[in-house]
Amino acid sequence: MSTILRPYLYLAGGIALVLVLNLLVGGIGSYDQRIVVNIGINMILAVSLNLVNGFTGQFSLGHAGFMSVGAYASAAFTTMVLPAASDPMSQGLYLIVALLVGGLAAAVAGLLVGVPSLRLKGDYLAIVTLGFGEIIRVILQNVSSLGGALGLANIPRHTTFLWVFIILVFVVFVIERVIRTTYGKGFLAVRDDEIAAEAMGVNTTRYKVVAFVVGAFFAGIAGGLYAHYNSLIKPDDFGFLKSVEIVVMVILGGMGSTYGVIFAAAALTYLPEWLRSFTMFGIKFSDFRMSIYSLVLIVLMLVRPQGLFGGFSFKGRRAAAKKAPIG
Amino acid sequence: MNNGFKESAPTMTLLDIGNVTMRFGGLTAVSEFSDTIAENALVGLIGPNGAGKTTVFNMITGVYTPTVGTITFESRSIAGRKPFQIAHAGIARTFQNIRLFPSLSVSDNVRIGFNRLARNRFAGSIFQLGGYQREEENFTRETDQLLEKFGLLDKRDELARNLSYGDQRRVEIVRAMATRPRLLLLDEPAAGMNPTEKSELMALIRYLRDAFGIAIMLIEHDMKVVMGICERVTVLDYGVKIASGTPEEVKNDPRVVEAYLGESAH
Ligand SMILES: Nc1ncnc2c1ncn2[C@@H]1O[C@H](COP(=O)(O)OP(=O)(O)OP(=O)(O)O)[C@@H](O)[C@H]1O
Ligand SMILES: [Mg+2]
Repeated sequence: MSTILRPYLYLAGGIALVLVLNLLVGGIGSYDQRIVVNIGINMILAVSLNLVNGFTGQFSLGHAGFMSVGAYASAAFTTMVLPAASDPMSQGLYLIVALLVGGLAAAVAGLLVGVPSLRLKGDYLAIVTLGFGEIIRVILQNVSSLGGALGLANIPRHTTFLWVFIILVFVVFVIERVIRTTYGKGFLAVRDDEIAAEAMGVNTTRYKVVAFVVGAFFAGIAGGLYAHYNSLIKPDDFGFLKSVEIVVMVILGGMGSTYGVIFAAAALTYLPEWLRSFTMFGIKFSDFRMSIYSLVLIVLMLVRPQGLFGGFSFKGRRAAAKKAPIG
Repeated sequence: MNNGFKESAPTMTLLDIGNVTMRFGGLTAVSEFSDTIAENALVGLIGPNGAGKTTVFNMITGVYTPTVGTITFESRSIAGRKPFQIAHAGIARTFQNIRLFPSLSVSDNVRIGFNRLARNRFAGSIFQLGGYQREEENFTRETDQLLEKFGLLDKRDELARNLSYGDQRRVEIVRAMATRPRLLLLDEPAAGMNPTEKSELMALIRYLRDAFGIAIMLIEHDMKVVMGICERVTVLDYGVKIASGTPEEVKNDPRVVEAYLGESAH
């Protein structure tokens, strides 16, 4: 009985922790609150991408694209479909419905991108998803009803610290739970050795599509939270660099380690804020942030390819993939 | 299930390979190859390096679709089906270069064999309601039972990549058995084993066939192993079947002798 209840105890504990933190967050300044909420949104993005890149071993570079689909779909829903809400009760309800709309829209996009590209082997997925992200961005820039390059404004601010972190707790709960079951081990089998997984009766294409669609769904929800926090969303918020940032969080955290990825998301969101005013050789930190990411990645690949926390080696997978011919 | 009735009944053909050819660009790895495997048979597939043996396994298991030819398993055509579908149909295999799931534990490697039976898919795994717990417990119990049968229960929590070479080979066989196959294909199971391990392996293969009532085809370079356990042996050379028969017949076939002499002359 206790093994059945234990995961729910974790869930309850997570929610309780969020409720306590919510009281503390009420006491900090709005600038810091903004950072904390961004950390939470990035955690959701990183944990969901980790299902694809970490647990299933597929290299997706389009997470920001799915985030943007979710952001725009949910924002369009609240600004164009729903009437204004003033009381917190209906605001919360609106947010939930809008997030589901955003999540589902992103999941459909994930299905459309994933079904054709996940049949391809190797690094095609990285290229296709990268292309997808850019195409979505260009399309959004040119759709005037969604604000074009200037973006969609006046989105009601329904997102709160509480919502972001409660949703994070649920996302973690879902992924950590699924990955431990006989069904869920299939994702890890696909990552470890696709050919062996197939030989064991695992429908690897199906698993990849499921990981991809679920990952996109959560990215869409994160996008919806982002939209309803910032009130203004622009296509450029969800560019290629945003996708890279999330990938870096997953790799740094250790592909396939949810808690490592959560930590990396926090660190990589907070550090740039902390270093914002820091200058080196007369260059502002925010201008060479991406160079630092690249450098960190290179060093990490060299000295700790399994990430800071992961037990799974990124290098090892590449080596295994090269083991040909099949036999 | 070796009762008198079954033995007196005519042996059923389990797998029927009809005239398959496999070309890779200009290279013909297997050429117009035909063979059958009877239910509960224990047969060998031998031949010099590069003869096309593994390619035959890859065609049977759907890794490659034959360029020409038919493969039927239990009277159903399987050529061109996906590997996971062929696994569901009842064919399991091991690999020449061991392919375990290195970052999974021994028991999770075996558990993957039950994956296809899991009625709880993504949503079911989140909520884990109803018969969920019972289903998972059944898988755990069956995994443990299999590991116990093969003397691997004490290794259940070790990561596959940390196992000794011989244990990795055994876990790969146990993992294949977890899919409950009717036909098991073993690609060089004795490779890298010492004489003691080899004789243990021979006993294990016989046990698998008798206790589980399955058919087994094995590729093997060690003639002692092949001649010691196989009832029938097929010989490939440059992708062509040059002989087939009892170990005695094959051993004395001049074409076989020539093929192997040719190899040792290299
Ligand atoms: N995917 C592939 N692409 C191109 N050529 C291949 C492929 N797979 C196998 N071959 C070639 O087909 C031939 C037969 O290979 P195969 O692996 O079936 O031999 P084998 O009998 O298993 O040899 P060994 O005893 O060395 O394992 C070889 O010349 C090999 O290089
Ligand atoms: Mg071979």
